[in-house]
Amino acid sequence: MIRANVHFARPDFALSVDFHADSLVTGVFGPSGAGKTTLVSLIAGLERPDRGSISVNGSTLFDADRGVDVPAHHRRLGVVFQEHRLFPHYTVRGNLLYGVPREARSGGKIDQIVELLELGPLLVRRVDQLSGGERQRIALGRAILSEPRMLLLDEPLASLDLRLRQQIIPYLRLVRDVLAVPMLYVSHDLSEILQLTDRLLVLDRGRTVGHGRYLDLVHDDAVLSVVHDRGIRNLLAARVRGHLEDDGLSILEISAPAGSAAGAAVDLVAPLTSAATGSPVTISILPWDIALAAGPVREVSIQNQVRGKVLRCTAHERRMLVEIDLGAPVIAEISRRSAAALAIEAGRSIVCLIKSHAIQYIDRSSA
Amino acid sequence: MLSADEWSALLLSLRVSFWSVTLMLVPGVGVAWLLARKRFHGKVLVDALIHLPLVLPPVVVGYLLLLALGRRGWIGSWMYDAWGVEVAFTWKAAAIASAVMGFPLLVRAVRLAMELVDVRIEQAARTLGAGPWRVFLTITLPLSLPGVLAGSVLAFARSLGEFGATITFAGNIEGVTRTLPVAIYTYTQVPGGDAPAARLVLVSVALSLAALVVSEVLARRIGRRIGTTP
Repeated sequence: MIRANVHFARPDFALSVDFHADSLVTGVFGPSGAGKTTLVSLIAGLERPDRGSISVNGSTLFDADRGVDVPAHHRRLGVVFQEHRLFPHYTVRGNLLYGVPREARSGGKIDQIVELLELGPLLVRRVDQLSGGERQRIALGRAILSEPRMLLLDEPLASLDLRLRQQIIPYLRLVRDVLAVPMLYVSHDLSEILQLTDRLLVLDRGRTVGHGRYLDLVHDDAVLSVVHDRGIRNLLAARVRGHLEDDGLSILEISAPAGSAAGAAVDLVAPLTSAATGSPVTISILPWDIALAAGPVREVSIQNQVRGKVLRCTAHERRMLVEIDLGAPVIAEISRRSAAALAIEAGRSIVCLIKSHAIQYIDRSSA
Repeated sequence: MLSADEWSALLLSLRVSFWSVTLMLVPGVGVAWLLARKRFHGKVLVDALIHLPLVLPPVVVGYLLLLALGRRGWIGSWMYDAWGVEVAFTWKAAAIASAVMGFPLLVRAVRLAMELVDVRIEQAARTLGAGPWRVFLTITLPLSLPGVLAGSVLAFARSLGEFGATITFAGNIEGVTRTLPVAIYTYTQVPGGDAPAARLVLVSVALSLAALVVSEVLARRIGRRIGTTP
């Protein structure tokens, strides 16, 4: 999909990144000042690398050695910026059509995107009559309609509040699943990225810290140093099995990740959701909200006791990160002292204790 | 109300001002864009040259124009030999003199407006496939239109009042180059000219006021349409 090896130096900042991403969606994660936005500008052709090369889907867009530097307007990369950057003197329709070639303006493609992103009622509005979420949806639609080789999303949700963010993510998933447009998704919010992909490029201070699957990166000390304080979290796909309305609880079944063999179904008791029985939900569990025990614990308030096998464990500072297979891999964080006491090691069978209220819904409608 | 001579001065002034703005509009917008958006060697010099007419005595500008475009000037003589065209001491000379004098005002206003156009919006247009010309015509220019308008009106008004460069380069020929200010000056030099001079002064004031009001109204209307003013 994208191969970039770029070096860029300014008096106050230097970026030196080399990566090759071949999954449909790659998340670029890093704290602010890591160089994420600079990387997007370099790929989009808005800034020029000092050295290196960039190619997308096999087309070389920049190559310092061969003197190739395709101008931004010929790169065919759709960019969604942190600020919507809509054209204030165009209507919504005018904005959407800006990147569409004149001869393609009557195609069904436009109707498809308008329908997919639910932009129909907004078409005749002016930009200043839109809410923040609507603006970003239009910016997304505008970028997609220019038929890009790849979408570069640079913190597209950072200017929105939490509730609005969760309203936009389903649209991003639709773009991924229905249109299959490759994406580079830049964010400083890991949970946002993990809702779209588990392939990550981790940047810090202008350098690549790690690149690969999220669960592999979690065991990498250098990555942990960057990611840790910013919240490692478990994002799990689940299905609603039923509700215990009187108790204010719902029963969820963890879905096995795509591509892995479905093991025994694992049920979790979680706070009551408005999502209907049978519908999918995404839940989040913080690693330090999972306690480990050698065996089942009697007479305890914790609702969920799930047995699983330790896959990997990694010491980081005074903590131990333990990856456990609960039908889907889950990261638990305990102290090193506890880990030693329980003799945690790969292959050991262990019971995870999860309070039902440690489980959070992150979909828009199920909270 | 106005005598035939006075009418002719008024119409001539309007014609000269119109053509002077028309003449400088495209180069003025172009230079403003260069100054607002590009970095190049000698930018400071270009900037200074453009602003020179603001600080030079207008008579000096008129004299320099005469040296360049007069019948024996280095461009004028060539134009006369090639096409038989003579500019000095015609209404065209008045228009050119006004254009040179008004140019910095136009450039200044347009440049300020263009500097206020968000570069990031232009970048967004580029990522959507718009080349430099399309970005300029669909984003930069429309969004700086209030500035272009304000600059044009300012230059037009400046043109109506141009005196020193005009009288030096175009002369004071009745019905040909005797614009409003030149006519007023002439009337004040002859006995019994007080009344016509006063009438033309009133016309001048009214004209300038009208230009400013019209530009303000138009700028607001455009501003609303392009979303720069609420």
